Amino acid sequence: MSDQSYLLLEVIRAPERLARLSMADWNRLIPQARHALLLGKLHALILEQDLLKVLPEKPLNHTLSAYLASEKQHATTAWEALKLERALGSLEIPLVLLKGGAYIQAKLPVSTGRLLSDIDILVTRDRLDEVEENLHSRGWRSSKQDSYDDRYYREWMHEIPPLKHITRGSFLDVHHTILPPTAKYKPDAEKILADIREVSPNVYTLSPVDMVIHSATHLFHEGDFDHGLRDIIDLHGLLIHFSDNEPGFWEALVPRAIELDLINPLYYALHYCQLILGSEIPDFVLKQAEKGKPNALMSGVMDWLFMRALRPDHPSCDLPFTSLARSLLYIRSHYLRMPLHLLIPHLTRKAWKRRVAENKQEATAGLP
Amino acid sequence: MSLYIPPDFELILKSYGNETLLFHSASGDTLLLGPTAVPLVQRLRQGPLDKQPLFDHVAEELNYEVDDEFISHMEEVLSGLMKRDIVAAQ
Amino acid sequence: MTSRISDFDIDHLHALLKSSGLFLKTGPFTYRIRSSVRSVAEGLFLLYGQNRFFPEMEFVDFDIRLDSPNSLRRRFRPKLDFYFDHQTPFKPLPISQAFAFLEWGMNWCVSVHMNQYLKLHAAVLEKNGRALVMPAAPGSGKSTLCAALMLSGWRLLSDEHALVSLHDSHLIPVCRPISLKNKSIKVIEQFDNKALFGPLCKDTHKGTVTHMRPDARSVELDDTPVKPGWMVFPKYIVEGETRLTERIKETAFLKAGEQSFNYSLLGAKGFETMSKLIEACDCYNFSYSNLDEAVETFEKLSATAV
Repeated sequence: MSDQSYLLLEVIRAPERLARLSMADWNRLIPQARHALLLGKLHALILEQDLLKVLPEKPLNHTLSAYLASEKQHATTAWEALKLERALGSLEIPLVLLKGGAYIQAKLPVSTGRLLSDIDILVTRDRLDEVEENLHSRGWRSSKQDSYDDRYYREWMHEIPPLKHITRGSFLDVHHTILPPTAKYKPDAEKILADIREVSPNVYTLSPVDMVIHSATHLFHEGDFDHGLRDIIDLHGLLIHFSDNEPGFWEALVPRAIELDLINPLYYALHYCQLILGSEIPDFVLKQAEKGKPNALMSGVMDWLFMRALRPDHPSCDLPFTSLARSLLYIRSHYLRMPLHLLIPHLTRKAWKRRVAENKQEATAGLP
Repeated sequence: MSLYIPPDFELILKSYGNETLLFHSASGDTLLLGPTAVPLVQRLRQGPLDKQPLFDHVAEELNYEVDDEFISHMEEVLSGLMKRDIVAAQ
Repeated sequence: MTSRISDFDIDHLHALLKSSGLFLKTGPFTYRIRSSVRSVAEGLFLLYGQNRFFPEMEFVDFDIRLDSPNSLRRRFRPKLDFYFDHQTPFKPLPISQAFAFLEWGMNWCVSVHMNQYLKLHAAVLEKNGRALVMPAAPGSGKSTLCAALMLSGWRLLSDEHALVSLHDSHLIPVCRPISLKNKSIKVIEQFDNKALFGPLCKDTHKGTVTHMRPDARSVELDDTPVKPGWMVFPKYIVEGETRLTERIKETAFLKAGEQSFNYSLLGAKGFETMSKLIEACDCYNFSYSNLDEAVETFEKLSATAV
C-alpha cells in the first residue's frame, strides 16, 4: 500500500502513523476522510492513540467537529430508541435495532465517532400494520409523497417507505426482513428474530453472528457504495470485537450464513476485510466461507469492481475507471434484488427522478 | 405513585436571578422552567417522592396555599414535565 | 515587509485564481480559492486587498472553486458551480452572481463544519475592549447596523458568524466583507460616502446583493479575540423610534440559541458556553429606523464597558 493517495486507508490500518504525518499529508487526509464519512472515526482513532495533544491543531478542528456531530447523533439515537421502545412496547413487540443504531445501543467500539443518517429497526411482517399505525399516532410520517415510490417500496422492498418524525425531524427505516422479497437469496427473518440479544429492557440487537452477516448483506447487496469504506471498517470492527469478546463466534459464523442463505455476501465481507484492512480471520473460517465464493472469472471481476468502489469517493483516491466500477455495482445490486424485467424500468425512473430532485440547497448566508 | 428524575439523563439548571433555564441532556432540549416547576425539579433531584408531599413541598417553598386551583396548576406542570421525560413515575 | 493581496494587480490575481489558487486567511480559517471568473478576481482584489498574501499555506481548511461545470455549457448561458473539495453542495447560479455565490459558499463552509466553536448567526463588533454580539434572523437590519457601526469607528469581528470559544466564551474574529442587500446598499452609501463596495449582484434569490470592505484596522486585528460585553437583538422597524431596552438573560439565552448553527449539536457543552457568554453580557432589545440615532445609542452603550 505505498500508493500515495491511499493515505486514509494506510492510517486506518496503522493508526500509529498518525503521529508522523506531515502537514501535506494532513491536507490530503482530511478531505479523503470527509468524503468517506470517516472524519469522526479518524478522531476516535486519534483519541484511542492518545495523540490529541501532539497532533497539529488545524486538521484536528475538522476531525473534532465531525466527532462532536457523531456524539450528538449518538445522544439523539439513544433518545429515539427510548421513544421507539415505548411505541413498540405498548404493542408488546420488542424493539430490534439494526446497523448503526444497534452498534450505538450495544455500545460496540465500532460506533465511536461513527455518523449515521437514520435509525433502522426490524419488525415481523405480520405486525407491520400495527406498528406503522402506532408510529403514525406518535408523529412518524411517511417521507415518500410520490405514490410510485410508495408502491415501489411496499411491493418490492424489505422495508416500508422511510418515516420522518414531524417534530423531532429524525428518520426511521422500518424493515420487515433483511433482503427484498424478490432477491435471489431468501434469508428467513423469523430465524434472525429468534436469536436477538437484549441490550436494555425490551431493546434488542441481532446476535453477533447475525449482525456481521446482516452488515455484509447490506453492503454487498444495497448498492450503496458511497460509504463502502466506512461499511468495510464497520465489518472489520465487528469481527475484531466479537472475536475477542464472543466465545464460539468464529465457529458459528459460516454455518449461520449458510443456514440463512447468505454465505455469498459473507464470503465477500470476509474476503474484502482481509484484503483491504488486513483483518485477522482464522483459516478454518476462510476455508468454510469458500462455499460462497463465485467462480474464478467472477471473483476476478468482483475484485476489480470492489477494490475500486471501496475507495472513498474523492478524486485523489480514484484508480482509473472508478466511476464505471461504481455504476456497475449499482446495477449488480439491483439485479440481485429484483427480477430483470422490473429492474430496467426502475433504474431509468430512478435516474430520472434523481436528476429532477437533486438534493441541493440554495446558497444562502442565513441559517441552514 | 412515586415521582423521580430518570437517573441516566443529565439535568443542568441555570438562573441569572429571574427565571430558570433547564438543559435536558437526553433530548438536548433547553427549556425555561416556570416558577412552580423549579422547586419541583430541585426537590426531585434529591430523591423520589410521592405526588402529594411533592406538591406540599412546592407550596411551602413558595408560600402558597394548597387549594384546588394550586393542585390543578401543579398537575399541569407535572404532566408537562412528564411529557418531556424530565420527570417519570413508578 | 508583509505583502498584501492588493500588491498584485487584478490580472495577476486572476491568473493566480485560474491556476494554483489564492490562499486566503481570514480569522482562524484558511481558504484556497480557485476560479476563472473575472468578477471573482475583482471582488477579492477590492474587498480582501488588505489581507495578507501567502504564497504557500501549510494547511487548507476549505478548498473551494467557482467555475462552470463543463466547457460545453459555456457557449450558451454560463452557470457556475461552487465546489468544496470537488463536491457541489449548491444549485448552480448565473455568472452574474459569482461574487455573492463565493461569499455564501465561504459562509457555508464555516456554518456546517467548524464545531470547535459555538456559532451564532450574528454580527460582532468591538469597542473599548468589549464585544457587541447581535444575533438576528435575516431581515432584521443586522448587517445595515453593523456596517454603520463599523463606519463609525467600531472594530468589525464578523457580519455573519459569532464564533464563541468553548474554553472562555471569548469572541473569535473572522473579519470578512459585510453583506448588504437592496435598500440597505443606498442607505449605507448615504450614511458614509467613503464606504467601499464590491461587485453588485442583481436578481439573486435575496434581491440585489453587494459586499462592503471592512476597515484596515479590523482586518489587522483579525487574530485577536475579544471578551464579551453586550448582547443586543436588533430589529429594524419602518419609521420606528430608536429604542434600547434591557431584557432578562434567561430569554436572551433562548433567543440566541435559536440563532445558533450548532448550539444543539454541542449538547451540554453548548449550554455551558452559552451560559458563560450570557453571564458576561448585558442583554438588550434594540429597535430602530434612524442610523445616526442608532450609532449614538451604541456609542453611549460602549461607555458602559467594564
